[in-house]
Amino acid sequence: MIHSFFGGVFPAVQKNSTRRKPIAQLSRPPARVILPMTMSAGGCAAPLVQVGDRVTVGQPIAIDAAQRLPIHASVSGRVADIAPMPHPWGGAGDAIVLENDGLNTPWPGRPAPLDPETLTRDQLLERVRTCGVVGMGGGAFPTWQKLEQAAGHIDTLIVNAAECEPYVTADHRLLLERSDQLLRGTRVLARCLGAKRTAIVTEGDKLNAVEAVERRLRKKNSRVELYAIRTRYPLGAEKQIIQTVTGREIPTGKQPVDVKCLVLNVATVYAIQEALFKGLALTSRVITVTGGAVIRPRNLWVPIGTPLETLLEEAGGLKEPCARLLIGGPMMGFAPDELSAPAVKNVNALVALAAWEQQDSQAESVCIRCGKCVSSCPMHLAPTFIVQAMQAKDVRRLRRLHTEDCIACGCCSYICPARIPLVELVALAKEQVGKEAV
Amino acid sequence: MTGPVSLPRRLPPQVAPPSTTETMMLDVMIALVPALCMAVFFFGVRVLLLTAVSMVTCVLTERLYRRLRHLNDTTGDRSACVTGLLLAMSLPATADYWVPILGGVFAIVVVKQFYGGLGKNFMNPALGGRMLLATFPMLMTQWSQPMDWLPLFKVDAVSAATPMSFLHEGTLPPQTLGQLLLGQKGGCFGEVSAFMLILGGIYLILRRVISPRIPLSYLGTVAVLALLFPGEGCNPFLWMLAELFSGGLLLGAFFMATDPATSPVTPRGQVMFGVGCGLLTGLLRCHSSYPEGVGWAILTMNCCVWLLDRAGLPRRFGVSNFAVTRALLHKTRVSLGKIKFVKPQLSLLRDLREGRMPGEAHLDVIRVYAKAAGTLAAGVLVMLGVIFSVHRWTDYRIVRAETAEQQTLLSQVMPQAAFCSEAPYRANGALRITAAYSAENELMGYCVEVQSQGFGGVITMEVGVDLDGKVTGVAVTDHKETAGTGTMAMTPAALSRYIGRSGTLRTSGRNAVDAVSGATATSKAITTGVNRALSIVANLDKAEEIDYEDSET
Amino acid sequence: MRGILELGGVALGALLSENLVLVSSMGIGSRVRSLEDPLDALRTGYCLTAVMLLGAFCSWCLDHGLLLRFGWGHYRLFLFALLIPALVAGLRLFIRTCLPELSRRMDGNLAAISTNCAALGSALLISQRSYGLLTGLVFALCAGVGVTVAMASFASLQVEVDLECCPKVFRGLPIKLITAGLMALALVGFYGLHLD
Repeated sequence: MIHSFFGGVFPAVQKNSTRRKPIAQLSRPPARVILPMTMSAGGCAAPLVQVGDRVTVGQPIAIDAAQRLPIHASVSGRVADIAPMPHPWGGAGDAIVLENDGLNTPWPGRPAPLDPETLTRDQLLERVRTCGVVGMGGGAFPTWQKLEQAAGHIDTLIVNAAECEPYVTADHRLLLERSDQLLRGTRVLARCLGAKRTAIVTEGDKLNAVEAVERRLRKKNSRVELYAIRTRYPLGAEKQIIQTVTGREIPTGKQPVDVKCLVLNVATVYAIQEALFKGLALTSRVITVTGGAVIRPRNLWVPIGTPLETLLEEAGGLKEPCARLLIGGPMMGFAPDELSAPAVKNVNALVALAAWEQQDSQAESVCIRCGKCVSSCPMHLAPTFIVQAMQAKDVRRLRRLHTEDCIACGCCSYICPARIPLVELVALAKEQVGKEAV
Repeated sequence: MTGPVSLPRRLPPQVAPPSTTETMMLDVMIALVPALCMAVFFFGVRVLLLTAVSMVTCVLTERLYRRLRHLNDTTGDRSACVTGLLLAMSLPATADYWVPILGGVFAIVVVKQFYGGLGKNFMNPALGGRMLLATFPMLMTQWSQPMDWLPLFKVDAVSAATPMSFLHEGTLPPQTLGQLLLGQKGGCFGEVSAFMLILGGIYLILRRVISPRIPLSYLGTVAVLALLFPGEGCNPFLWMLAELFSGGLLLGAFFMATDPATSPVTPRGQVMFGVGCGLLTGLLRCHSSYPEGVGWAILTMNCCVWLLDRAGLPRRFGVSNFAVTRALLHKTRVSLGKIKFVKPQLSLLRDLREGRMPGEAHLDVIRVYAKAAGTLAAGVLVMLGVIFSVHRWTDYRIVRAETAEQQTLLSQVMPQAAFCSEAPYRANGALRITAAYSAENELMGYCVEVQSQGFGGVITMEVGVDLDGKVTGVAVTDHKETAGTGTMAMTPAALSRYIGRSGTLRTSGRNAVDAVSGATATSKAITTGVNRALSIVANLDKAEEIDYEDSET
Repeated sequence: MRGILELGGVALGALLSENLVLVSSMGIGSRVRSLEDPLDALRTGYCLTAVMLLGAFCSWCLDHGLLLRFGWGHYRLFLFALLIPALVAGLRLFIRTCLPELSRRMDGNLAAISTNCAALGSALLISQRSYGLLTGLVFALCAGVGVTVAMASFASLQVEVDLECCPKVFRGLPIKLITAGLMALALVGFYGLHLD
């Protein structure tokens, strides 16, 4: 049984250039790999190695004491430097720079594979933590903490393969090529966390992935439900996917666990099952390199820490000047400051938009009160009223309009015919309310 | 060792929006082109010239206004073109060329630019201009018939019946449904072709320029009302289709009511707006003096949009549907609960109980009040005295003037009578019944004062009926009709046509009194009043029988 | 049935086609704040409706009990003009002593409408048109509701719409009058509305 969420927009999908390309390895291993000390939200690790040490793939080289989360080396080689390096999230942070020797020697001390039938909850949490799994769908929150909060308190586990951002196909290819492993991981997670209902949500136009997964589901006769839902942005947002699968809405300030749900990105689930059944730490992930400005758009298995410029080279380089380079999709992506910044665990795509693809920078005009922003906001907000109240500095009205519910999905900015930057204005309004409350 | 790097600030969407203001306005104009072509087919090239004049006026007025006020030029967003086109399409094809100019200037300058331009006006500019023109009495009632191509200049005024006037009477229009759909009927040239307007509306909905909520709720409400209250003896389904295809309903529902600046922003508000427009249109089409109610209904709802926006805000995510209403009710209940009844201290009883004389302790206060009360009483008495004396002095003159007026009225209404006196009959619908006598004290007939609904309000008239049941004269004593047009039906020449008629007067066919051109509603009202008087006199409860036969004409 | 239709016609007329504020131009003599703040406009509207109902009842009784019986019709205007403010003053006194909380909220509004021409006007209209008691009360109620909605709409429009965008000559009172005129234009279509 499927519900629906209110609002949403239908941006052009633009996935044809990479949808059918299997995930490829890098043609040349990266010469250097940069591992920042901040790989999870709010985390800051301390190095365990020193300059000159030899490291192997999967060896923990830094540990975050507060979050108890290790960072592992993604290639084997020598520690070349420990210094501030550009961070893809902006600014610079301490990072360990590894020189790749190209041998990919695995770490001898890696943990043993666990048995899926006898796996206990504590074993699951411990393994997920020691293998450094964080949320790979963008949030970069330590997964073991999320699982610990949810264990025993949820009845629905949702695997989020609904990549609603245009251009990005990483999760789609992962679901298509590694369905067996994903199903195994999902079942184990559901059993350990006590979820009675498991759902994999993917978008309706990913028909070949849906067929592949359905075939495997029928073979194993499992109780995992597969939903192929028509592409509507922002289906992949946490609140919206929970509303679609279960019909429950998360009130403001609450978490998914309060409505007895847990949402995990499909790449996170893959990393969890690699950690459980092969003992491998999170050292590589799928990244889509695409965009109109790129010569050879493709999906790549990328070691964590590969510099972004290496990824662009791998895709053949730019064939025309790039109007905008984005990490993530064009709706909610962010722009890296430096191309030498590394790809960290929550980078799922690198999109180089050509000038003809990007929004033409025409000036914003007056609001014509068409109401499209109200009809498209998945959080039931009225952006045009929020902007009106903010410009009139009417804080009482702003409070009544619930600016704190905004998830900054960008639907309102996308749909506005007058090209008013609604997302930024609502963020300003949120600040205004926050200041008044103090 | 630097601290943690915070999660990055996300950029706004980097892909272009699917439509911009300019493309939306262009789509509206494209959607109106089929209807315009049909209008040219039916009414001739004059239609194109009217449209061109209207659009050019609107664009030039906006540009001139913005330049004179030293503001930026906004004609680039094409909204002035759309206003001009819509205004032109709601005019009859016989309109003079100054009509769209006047309407366009009013619409752009007063209704739109005085409030700040696009998006800030609260009333639909094209509709505001159109309705201003509708208040000009003769302007909007000249309809030409289709396939009767009009010359470019010098149009002769021909008044033909539109389907709306038939529906207003309560009968189905003579055109077939196919003709109604295609547009072979009279009316404003933009609203005749229902089929082309529906096509245009579907185009707009598919291009996501308008949302289907307002048109569907508007048309749905009108359809439901038409199904529930069809004209007498008409098939409800046919009546509903006739109502939907006639008049400016489709033009109003798809193009005027959906104007983004003047319709609600919230989805529920839009549905309520459509339903409200439909209800008001139904009410106006059945019961008002104007045959067409779409424009007035939409304008009235435009004034209520503020309320619908507030009421229609989507419910908060995560909160149940009626939580806000429940909270509001709770707040009101708490607030009203604070109002408590306090038993007043009547000091009079308290004093008596304590064994004191009333007022002893309050003599000073009473003295102050008494002074004020005394002054007031003195003033009131003086005024009463003045009124009394003025009344006394003028009473006689008033009565004499009243009698003289009565006499003049009698001479107008029943010239053969000498005097009249109040008759003891009471009838439903008669304000006053007087019996008229000749100089020899012979009963000549009865004068009845009746009322009927005219165009602008109630018309009070005095009708004289002799003992043969024939009308001897009609005089109008009070009316609210428009001077110059409605009053043409009340001239002595027009009223003298009723003399000698009896029975039930109709507007056409046997025993008919034709309506004065340009004053149809007023003429019908006077005829209704005369009919009422005739039937009252015929049914008076007395000995003599008064004939009630149709007169021979 | 005819009676109900007649009542309905009177009600619709008082509400729409003869809206006291927008069509008959009565009842706008309230304090300025009532026309600018929507909540205050609503409160003034409620007070005015209550006063009009009470005034209609008392004036009808006075009219039929005293003036028509003794033929003192020429005193009508004067007596009504005394009666309505006296009613409002009495109402205020009653509310002040017995319902102090209500008085705290509404006293300002009541004071402002003690000489409001809508109250006197509706009483006079009822007696001029010789309405019965029930018809007169319905008329007063609907006229009051119409006044409330019109004033609340006008006040909300002032809050919503920026009235400073017009040429300098029009700012202030002129643009407000133009706005009220546009709202009245919308009601022109309801002239002559009747149920039959």
